[in-house]
Amino acid sequence: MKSLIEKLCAEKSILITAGAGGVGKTTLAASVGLVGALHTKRKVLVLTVDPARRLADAMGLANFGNVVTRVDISALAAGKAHGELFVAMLDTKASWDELVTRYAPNIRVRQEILANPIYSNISSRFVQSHDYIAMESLYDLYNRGDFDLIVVDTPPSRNAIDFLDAPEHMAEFFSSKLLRWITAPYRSRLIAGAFKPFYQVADRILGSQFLAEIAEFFMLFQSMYDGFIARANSVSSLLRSEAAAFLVVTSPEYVPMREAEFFLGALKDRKLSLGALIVNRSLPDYLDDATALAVAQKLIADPAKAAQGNFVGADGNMLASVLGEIGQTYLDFAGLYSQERALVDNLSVEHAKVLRAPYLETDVADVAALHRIGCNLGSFYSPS
Amino acid sequence: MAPDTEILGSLANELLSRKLVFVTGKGGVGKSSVTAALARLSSRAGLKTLVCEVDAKGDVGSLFGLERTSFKPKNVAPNLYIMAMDTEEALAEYLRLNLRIPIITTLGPLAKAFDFVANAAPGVKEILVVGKLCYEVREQKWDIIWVDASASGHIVSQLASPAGISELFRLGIVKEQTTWMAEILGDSKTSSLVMVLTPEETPILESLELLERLRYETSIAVEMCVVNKVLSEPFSASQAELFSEVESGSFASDFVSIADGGAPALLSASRFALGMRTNRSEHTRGLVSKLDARTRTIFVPFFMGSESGAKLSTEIAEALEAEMSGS
Repeated sequence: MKSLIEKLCAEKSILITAGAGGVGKTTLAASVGLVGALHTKRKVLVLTVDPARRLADAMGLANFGNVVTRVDISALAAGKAHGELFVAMLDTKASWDELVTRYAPNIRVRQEILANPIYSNISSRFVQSHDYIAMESLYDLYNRGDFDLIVVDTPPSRNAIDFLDAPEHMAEFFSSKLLRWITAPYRSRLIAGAFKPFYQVADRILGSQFLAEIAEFFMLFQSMYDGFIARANSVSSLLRSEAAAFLVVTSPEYVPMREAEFFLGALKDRKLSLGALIVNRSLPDYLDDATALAVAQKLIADPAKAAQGNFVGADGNMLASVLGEIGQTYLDFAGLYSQERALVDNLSVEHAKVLRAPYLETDVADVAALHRIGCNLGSFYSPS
Repeated sequence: MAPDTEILGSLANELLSRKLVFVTGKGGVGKSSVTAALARLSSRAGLKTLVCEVDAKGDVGSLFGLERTSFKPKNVAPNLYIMAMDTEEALAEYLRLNLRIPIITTLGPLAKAFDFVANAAPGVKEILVVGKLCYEVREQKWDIIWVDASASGHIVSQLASPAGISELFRLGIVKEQTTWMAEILGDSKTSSLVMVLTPEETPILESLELLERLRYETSIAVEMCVVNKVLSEPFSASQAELFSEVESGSFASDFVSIADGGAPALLSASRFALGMRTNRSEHTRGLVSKLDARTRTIFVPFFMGSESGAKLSTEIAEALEAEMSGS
């Protein structure tokens, strides 16, 4: 039978991972992409925003930039028919430049925008612009139709939800009335008079050169307004369509779980579809064993008594300390395990959509390890 | 005032003599718990302490039983206040204090306009955050300010904003203001940064990258690395040897006979814990070897069973205190 992940990889065109920072989003995006490429015959692209260098290593790539790079997966396929896997890293600056190039009405405007200091600030440093450009690039790639499935690893947002609203924010941003205020004195002398008090204060605080630059930027950007708004709206509706689903990733800890809960609610509010909730680094099930727990308690209470009649020839004190430690370790981890359970149980989400990825003692070092993670994405509530 | 030297060691004394300390680290490493623990230490040492949450998720506030944090500092314990950063309120306060201009009546739409400008030019929001903090330092309202700072990358833009703004604004009051801010941030006796991380691969790699960026793009001194959630070694070398015998050697059958059917689960748990510990201590050694000699490293144990809440931050505070006093 197909796993939920295999099903999603086979049916969807876009899978978007989301979640708090540090929960393993990038690794899971790569694992899911790998499952898609190996278990279906589709062409899969993993679009990452923030690749840990080790992930590039794991994929056998020295480095990858915003050029689409093919990952060799034939060794893992073991002769079976499979699809293809590609990866690309999102370069925010380059993607913005591309966007400007596409929508600027003429070469002069394009060059002026690219040279504007406010623009270069926005395109390289503006945190929200990363969110927007990720969605924008996704839309572009989707429309080009070069890939059957695109798995997107979302940017580490201050708030995981920001990128969902990024297209709307961007549209609001460029249609604001305030934009007209800022650019007014540069467009008409008459209006400039009316706004004089505002500009006196603004000048004192920001300096007139900055104001001039910002006005120039907005005037230039206004010429691209229509294309921009239309585009932002298309991106929004693509995310809401049947083609797209979200993979909410969390680790079984208090803070990321709170973020996941918030995110699940946000998806519901926006009528976006949840593909799966993945609880990453979840502890193994042998920690839920009543017999072992009872023995652990005996070992802690009186290890010497527990050992009686066995372990002939062992140093008594040392044996007691080792047995006691075995018991304590079990007790501690069993406690963590039940905490994890309680955290997941508290989420309001359809149980069939909750998956788990095991806690790995070692680091993810190669494609085989990524593939193992992808294949072991089992159901959280009915362990196989 | 000087912290109580009777209670705390020299490392703590040095850190507590700062005026402005940024605590940073990526999500999930326990940044808020560590910030709360440091604030507990300083307030208990008699220092008038302010905690400022920049990411404003209310995590530190909730550790002190505060339902909601606000821009206006709230008193949560003796000597201890918590505030949440809000760029709009910081701007309003700034305008009120610095620009006593007659057209103050039109401030409503003006504030909106500035918010808009602030969105367009990222440096503006960052400078408002850093500006408010530096202002609190300059006004000497507090003995020490702990900043629960933005996770990872964003902290660099914030700390670099006085310099960045200087480039963007060649004139105007904002430009003038950046000079004294840069002085406060660059003085290692006044300001410093504490990095919180866990001994796992990705947090360590990212922390090292962040340290590199802080070194080249800002003038802040990285004073301390707090390695959180450290697992102690369960077995000494000879104990480990005995454990192997119990696990799969000459005592394996003895263990099975005392553990009923629980043996596989018990042994798997210990093996799992050993693997996790080995992996974490390797990563910790890797980190320490790459740190600047001036950056001190402090280890905070992993507290089983206190995932969140006041109990954890109290435990961390005690561990920090013990580590910093060298005991």
